[in-house]
Amino acid sequence: MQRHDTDAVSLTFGVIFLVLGIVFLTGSVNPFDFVSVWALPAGLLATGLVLAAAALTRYRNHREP
Amino acid sequence: MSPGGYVSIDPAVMFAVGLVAAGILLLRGQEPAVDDAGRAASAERERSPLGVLTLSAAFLTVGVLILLGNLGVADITIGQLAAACLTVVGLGALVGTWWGSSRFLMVVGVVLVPFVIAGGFMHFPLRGSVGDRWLGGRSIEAVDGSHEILIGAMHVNLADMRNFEGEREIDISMAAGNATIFVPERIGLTIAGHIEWGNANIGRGRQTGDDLELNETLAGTPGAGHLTINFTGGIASLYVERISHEELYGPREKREEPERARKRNRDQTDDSRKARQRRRDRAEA
Repeated sequence: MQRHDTDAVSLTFGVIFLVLGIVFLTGSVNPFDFVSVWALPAGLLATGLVLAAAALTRYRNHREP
Repeated sequence: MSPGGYVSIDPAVMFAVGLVAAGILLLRGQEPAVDDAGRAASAERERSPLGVLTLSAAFLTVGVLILLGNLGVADITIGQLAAACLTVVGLGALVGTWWGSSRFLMVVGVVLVPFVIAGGFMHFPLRGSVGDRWLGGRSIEAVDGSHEILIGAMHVNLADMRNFEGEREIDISMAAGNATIFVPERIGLTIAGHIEWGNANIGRGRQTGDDLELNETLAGTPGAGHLTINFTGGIASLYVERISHEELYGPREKREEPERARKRNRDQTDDSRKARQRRRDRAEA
């Protein structure tokens, strides 16, 4: 396998799957509590950060010739 | 083959084959035209083994965990199995961030997420029966004291039970499914236990939601026995009712009705046969 540039999609899904897997692997979480208390706000925060990063990157690429 | 010697083909099969052929032709049409340099480049580009390696690692992990659970080395629950699988897929996707390609792992992970969340309600080992289980009998001695259901339904009908005195306990563990329990009116009943997510109908009481604690006692007639049911459920529905034999099966007159109907049919058939015979005799005369 050859090294390539950072794949943002793989990174995002990888982190989400890993966190979900580890949280539920401990077996001490109520799914309802997890979704309402953690997953929803974390998902919204992540979406906001990704959108902001994408907008900034596009703006920077547009300005640089 | 048709009677005339021709081979007959079902039009639906022809249509399906045509659709498949059209799909293949369309797919071939979508392939971009590549020059010799492109062909050489794609030949050099090898398929990334990351996805298959990750999946094999996930299978190995889950297999080892099930073995550990079955050997009694560790208590592995259904939820933990699904979570372990998702963890391995997540690790594979993270590796794919910098090495290899693993896009189809995203699909696998997304499919796994609902199972992981549902598994969060099932703190049960991967064992027990799958499918429906029926229990009944006239004697409490004929009913086993412990039952484990992985996925399925359990129907316990003790409405016919007779000569039950003293105390008796039945343990039911159900990872996912529903249980229906009928017991005679006269006996005392205690339902104790816990349901992670689902509903419980015990007598006139009803509970719905998650983390349901079951603790209901219904007194029986003096001298009758007392049955305690310890129910532990993951995603489960429990229905318990004290019921008389007549309420469950209907009054005895109704049960005799089919026999009466058969007799009536038999009489009517005899009458019509006699009438036909009379008409025939009249015609001959």
